[in-house]
Amino acid sequence: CGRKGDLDPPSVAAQADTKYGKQGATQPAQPDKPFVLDPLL
Amino acid sequence: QELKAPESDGKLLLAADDLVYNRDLNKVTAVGAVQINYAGYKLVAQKVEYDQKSGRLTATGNIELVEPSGNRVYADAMDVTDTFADGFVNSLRIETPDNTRLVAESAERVGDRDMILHNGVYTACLPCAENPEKPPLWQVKAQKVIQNGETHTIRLENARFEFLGLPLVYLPFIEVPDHTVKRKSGFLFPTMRLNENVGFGVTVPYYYVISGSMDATLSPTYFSEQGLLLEGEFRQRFETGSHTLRFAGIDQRDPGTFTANTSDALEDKRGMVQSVGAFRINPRWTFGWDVMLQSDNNFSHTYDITGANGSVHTNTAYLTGLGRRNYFDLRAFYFDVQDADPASKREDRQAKVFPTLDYDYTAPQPIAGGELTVKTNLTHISRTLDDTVENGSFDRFRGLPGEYTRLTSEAVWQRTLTVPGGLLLTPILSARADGINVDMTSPNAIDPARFGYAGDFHNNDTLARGMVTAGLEARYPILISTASSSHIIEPIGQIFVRPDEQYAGGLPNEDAQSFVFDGTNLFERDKFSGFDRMEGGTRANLGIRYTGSFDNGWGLNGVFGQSYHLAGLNSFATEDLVNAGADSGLEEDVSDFVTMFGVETPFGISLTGNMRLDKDDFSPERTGATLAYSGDFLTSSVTYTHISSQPIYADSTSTDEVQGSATVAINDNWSVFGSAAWDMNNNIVSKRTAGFSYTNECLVFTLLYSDDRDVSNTSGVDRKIGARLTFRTLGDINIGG
Amino acid sequence: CQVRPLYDSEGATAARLGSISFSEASTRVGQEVRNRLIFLTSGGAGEPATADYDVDLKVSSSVSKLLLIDSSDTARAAKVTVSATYSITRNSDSQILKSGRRSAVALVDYSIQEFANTRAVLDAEDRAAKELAELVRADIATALSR
Repeated sequence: CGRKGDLDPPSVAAQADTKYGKQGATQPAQPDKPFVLDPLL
Repeated sequence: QELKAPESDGKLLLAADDLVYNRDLNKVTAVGAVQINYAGYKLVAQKVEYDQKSGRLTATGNIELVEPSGNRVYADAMDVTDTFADGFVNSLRIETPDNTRLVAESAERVGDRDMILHNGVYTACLPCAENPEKPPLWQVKAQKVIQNGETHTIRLENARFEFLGLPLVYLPFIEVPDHTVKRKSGFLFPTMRLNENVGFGVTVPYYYVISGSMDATLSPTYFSEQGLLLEGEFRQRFETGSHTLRFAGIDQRDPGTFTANTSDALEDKRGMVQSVGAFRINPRWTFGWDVMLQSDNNFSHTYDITGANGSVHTNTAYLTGLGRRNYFDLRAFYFDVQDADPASKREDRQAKVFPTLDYDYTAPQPIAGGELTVKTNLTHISRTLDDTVENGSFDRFRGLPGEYTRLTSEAVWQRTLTVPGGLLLTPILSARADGINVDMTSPNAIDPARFGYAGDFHNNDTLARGMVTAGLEARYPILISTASSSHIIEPIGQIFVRPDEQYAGGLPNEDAQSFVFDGTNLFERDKFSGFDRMEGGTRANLGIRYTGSFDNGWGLNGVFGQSYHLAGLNSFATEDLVNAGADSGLEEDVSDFVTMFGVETPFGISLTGNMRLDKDDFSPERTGATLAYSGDFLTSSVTYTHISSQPIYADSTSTDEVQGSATVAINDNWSVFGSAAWDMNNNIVSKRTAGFSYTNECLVFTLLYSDDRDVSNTSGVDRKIGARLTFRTLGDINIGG
Repeated sequence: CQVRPLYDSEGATAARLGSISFSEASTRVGQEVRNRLIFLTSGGAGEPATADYDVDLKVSSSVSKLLLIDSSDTARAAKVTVSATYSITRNSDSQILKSGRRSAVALVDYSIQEFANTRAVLDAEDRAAKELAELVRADIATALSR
């Protein structure tokens, strides 16, 4: 039987070396990249 | 006594009531409350013999071993190496951290990683509290069970699945993921459904993990009447978002079961493909899309394809920005109407929108002490087939064929001044400009014999229009406070002086078709629901708002008021392609009364109501009331809706409807839910759903029945029954929180 | 019981109302409620640099279809409900002065024109958000006038 669960972003997936992914892999905080339309907000 | 071996160099720590050394055999015997800690393993037993020369540990008497992985092993006898890596265990029970159990007569510990059990029994259910001998709800008996620490699986060979003690299925082997696994390839638990015209179907999904951030699910369903439906989903997660690709296809075996010459009956090979993406550029900006293409206009609706089974599937692409005070949204729409009409006319009547842009800007610094906001909207739509409703001398043109573009920008400045004594005066100034291009079939050119429009429609034209408003709002909030409650009574008066609306009823109305005069737009400067119409003329709004809050948690609120057209053109009494404003209660100089009220209680009951009362006899022209309760055992809501006859704007007969829904948690396993809509005028109950669900620590079973009274056969399937049975850890799906 | 204008000259309600910081919104409707609350409490002066009070707002909105036409699987009307749970904290001693829940409903007419329905819901969300802001502002005012 399989088990379907949420996917991890590649950086987290790479961190957790095993194919099945570790439970406690932490989610990296996303860097605040500037965007061309930022001045509008 | 303790034999303290320094933990640091990884040696074994052993403690017991009493220890016996046998120097020459180099053997230690510990008896009574024996505790051993070594490299993350913790052993408790009554008696342990430790042969330091051979490094063997033999333990007896209600042994409890906790492994680093979190598994707890209870056994009677154990003969292992002192590193716990290899050895034998007799009559053991293993409890894993995710609450599953393995029981076996004997087991072998191999390579500090695996455990091989003989004649083992695996279950995720708790033993029955009253008599533990009774077999659990379900269990899997197997000749050989391999708990593999490297692949993180529990493999049961020559397995027999038992449900309620009855052997149901014999399997050569079954592999189950252990608790450390979030995703594992393999079959997921089947679901069943019984849908009209489609038949009874069993879906057996197979899930395949490609990588930590990519997976695929193939879900074949065999329907008793229409044959094999294949559904596939490929998911991919990126650093900044995710994408899902779906496809589905069927070669219908018996289209004849569907109503004759509907889309479903006229097709054999049918299918769809859908791409859904959602990405976040940075904490403020997101973009994404949801695009679905299908062979005919009803496939995904009839076969209930996840993510595309709506009666209208909205294909969209968007770029959205949400700042601290400003909002930006650039979006396109293609409305895919899924109904049984082979010609798919209702879809051609829809507006194809590319793009609609909304930008709401608030100046960060006050200007002349007041707040300046600028709202900008660009809309461009095109349509191929007209959407016209015959209605005596007030035909409704809900959609003209052709192209229509409008750019609108509206600036509003307002500031509140507090006059000594507590009076609040808020001057409001606003200016708006529109640029419009119309290239559509004029309403009188669609079918002059059948449809006529009295308004002066401007066609094949590029034009501009504008509006300026000077307004003043006066409020006098009075605070009444008692020992245990506070109440604010706030009389409000507004006056807006404006020129007449330009081209009223002379331009297409795409985004301001809905017009409901209620408590929430009584005090609006422009009561229209979209930019295609502008409110002009001089108008006054008078009303009173009450807000009460009690220390015991009760909250009351209410608004009551009326609106007066003082001078100029009453924008709600002019022609309009969909007669927006007609029969609305605002079309005469003195409007109907509007009221809204709300009650919040500390014990989960809440009531909200909106009503429009006729200005002469107070009779309810429109009513919307919802009574809702949410508690531990019951969550339910009842909504009553009434609209009196609106012959020009909508329906000439008055309509009344009661909608109810309830979810009852009978106990912590069983819950029942249901909903229905009752059309009181024709005494018809439509859109019914009912179902129940049983959940415990090792099983989830839900059954859902739904039907809608589809008198004129607009949809291929009206009655659906879906069942879902999942045994936890045997192929379950845990997505989301 | 005591009856007086909310903004009477001796009272400090107006000054206190002008010194509130509202938690940032995560949705469009939440931002609409927040922007309206900022105007209602500051009278146009905008967000204060330093705030004596913090208001934490959790806004949610939902649309439900009404008057279901059994012959064509469509609805003739809908209602938009915007609700918020809030809590008001005084920063000087981080004391929670009041917390509660308020909701507002706006009504909408539907037709088979999906674009018109979509825009009508947006407008109804704005209307209900403004009305909700009025109710939350009243609760804040009563809490700060004590």
